[in-house]
Amino acid sequence: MRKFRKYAFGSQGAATAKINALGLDEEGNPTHSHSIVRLGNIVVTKGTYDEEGNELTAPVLSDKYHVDVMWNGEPDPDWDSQMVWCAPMGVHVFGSSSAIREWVSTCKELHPEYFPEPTEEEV
Amino acid sequence: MSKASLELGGGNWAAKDGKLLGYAVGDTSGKYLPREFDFTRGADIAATRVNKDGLIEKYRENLLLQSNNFGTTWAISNASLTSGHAGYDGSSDAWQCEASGLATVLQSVSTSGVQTFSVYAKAGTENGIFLRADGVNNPRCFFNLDSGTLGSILGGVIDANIEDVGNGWHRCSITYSDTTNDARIYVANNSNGFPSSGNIYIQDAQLEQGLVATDYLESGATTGKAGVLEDLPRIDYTGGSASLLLEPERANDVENSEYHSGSTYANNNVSTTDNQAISPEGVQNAAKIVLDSGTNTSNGGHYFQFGSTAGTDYTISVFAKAGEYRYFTFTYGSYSAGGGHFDLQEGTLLGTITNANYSNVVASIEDYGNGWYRLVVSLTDNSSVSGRFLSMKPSPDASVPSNNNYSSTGDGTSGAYIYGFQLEEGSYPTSYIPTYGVSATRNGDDITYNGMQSKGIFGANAGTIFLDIKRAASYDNTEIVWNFRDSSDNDMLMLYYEREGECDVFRLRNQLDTEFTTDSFTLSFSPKIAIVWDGTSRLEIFGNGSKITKTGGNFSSDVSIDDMVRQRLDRNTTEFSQILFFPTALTDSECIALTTL
Repeated sequence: MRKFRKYAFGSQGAATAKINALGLDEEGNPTHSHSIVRLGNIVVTKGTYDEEGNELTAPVLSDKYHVDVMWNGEPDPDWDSQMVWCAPMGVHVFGSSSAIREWVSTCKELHPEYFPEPTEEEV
Repeated sequence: MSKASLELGGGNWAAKDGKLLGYAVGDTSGKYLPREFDFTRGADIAATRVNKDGLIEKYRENLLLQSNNFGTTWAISNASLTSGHAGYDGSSDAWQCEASGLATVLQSVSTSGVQTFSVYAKAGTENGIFLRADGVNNPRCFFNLDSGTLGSILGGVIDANIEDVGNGWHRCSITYSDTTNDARIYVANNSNGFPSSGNIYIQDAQLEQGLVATDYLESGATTGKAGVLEDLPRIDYTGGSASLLLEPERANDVENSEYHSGSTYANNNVSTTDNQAISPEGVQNAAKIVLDSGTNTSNGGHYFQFGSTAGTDYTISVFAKAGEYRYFTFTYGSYSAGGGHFDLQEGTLLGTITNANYSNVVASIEDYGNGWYRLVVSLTDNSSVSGRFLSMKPSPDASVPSNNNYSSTGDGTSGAYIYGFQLEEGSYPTSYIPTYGVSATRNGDDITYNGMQSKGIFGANAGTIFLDIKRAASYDNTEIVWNFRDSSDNDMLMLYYEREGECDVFRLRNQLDTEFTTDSFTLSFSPKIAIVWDGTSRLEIFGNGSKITKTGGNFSSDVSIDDMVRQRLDRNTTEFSQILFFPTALTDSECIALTTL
């Protein structure tokens, strides 16, 4: 079963070293079957712009270098210290329903604060 | 000519249980026997195809379990449910829900993004139903089952519908964008209230991603699924004929590709409303962009912002259809824009917009039927900009200014329709990747076939490969299409596309890295290629009816092909109309006949 996880590294170089350690051939092509998307220093707070596209306030970027991985199997435990969790809205995912479901379910288990509690009184 | 040992496509494409089916001639009967190719992609939600009906087909899933078995999995409060009642579909599968207080039928399910919750319902002694999902906004709505009308709508509902399906039954649905923990059904009356007694009938609940309730999928202990499933080969009918679609890994960086009224987009002198027309998907989930009343000079329109990286190729695309206005401007960038002006009635590109901020600007339009066109703009962004505007704007006038900043006079009601906005990193568009609140990556398509020697697909040291390529998006260097390997996984033949100047050249390599194709062979839009080897000194390649082998080719005589693999996820899009394998080396004249267009 494929598993989707999110990671944050201190730098692009640290992320690249970890990714390359998964295996490269002599031409630099990956020899593993995991899918990796480098999100980079993602936008934490969106910038604001006027109607002509001129920047009013600059976006705030994360100081971490973010990487999403769709593991073909279980996540590599060597990556666990860089694993991060977030609310499942407005982020990047891989387009596999089973992998997303597993990730959301695990996220809810580990971080229930990202999921609103039902308000029984209100209908 | 000897018969092919294995055939894929040629009007006979098929898939079964996640396998691509090829056909081999049976030993004695002469009938074709199915041969299964391993196929992996690892994406369903993000993968689409154009189906036989010419409609965009997605992955669909009913996220609820036991979708018409309210006696299990569902939590019942202040109600009793009995099965076996006459349903909307002529069955006896409906359930009567008898209230004894605030009657609730609830299923816990964690979901997020744009979703639609639906259920079939009919009035009993009470005549209303209330649907709700618990989340940040608690989207909810009352439905009057007597009059078939909507009651109070609350909690950030994007859309609510009640559809008369006959015999007093209605399909009631709410659409919302939220992170939710459950889906709930309440017995209600026809005045936005909750009775303490009385009953209604319910059947076939469904919770799915997207802006509309689609055809019901029955769920049991597992969710009901349909459409483009994970690892299902995509037989694509774009343009009418069937082909095997193999695409690279790509992401749609837009969080909501169909929901245009939310915060993903902003508007300047236009307004947008969702679910206003039948989309290329065949359901009512296209949005309408309307020009504001009055005359406005603006480069805005309906836009999405993102941060670009200098030197990166980007492709934006959107499906658009003429409404009251037939003209449409689709651009990358704000008042320094690259893009195109389009005529959505004639299906033509009226003018390409270029700007020094961008290189390689290409605008195009492709017919998707029923008045829909896919508009595409590809370019290289020369700068890193934190807030690039990607804009869509309808116009009543066929103006073709050199920018998107032109004056338009609207009436506040007229405009055009849009669906499926996409932003990809890449120099050409790939198939539509729907998104419902998160950007999504569709993994690359991988196809493999092993054990060709034992199955008699190729001879011990001889064989022929024929490829009828419907379309090849070849814009990057050294893109490997396939590796043919021996039983020890040594590369024997590697099929390449390369772009050299203005020519796309098809090349073939052996383990000595020798290129075998003449440099002058230009890959046409839909080329036919044959590669033949006989285990001695003969290795030839034919393209479009001519021998195109490069003089001085070299080839090992001990080649024995056993496996076919695609080895990288970043190779370009290729669509195959037909693939044939022969166990023998066909003659030159046979290869010329086979590849003649």
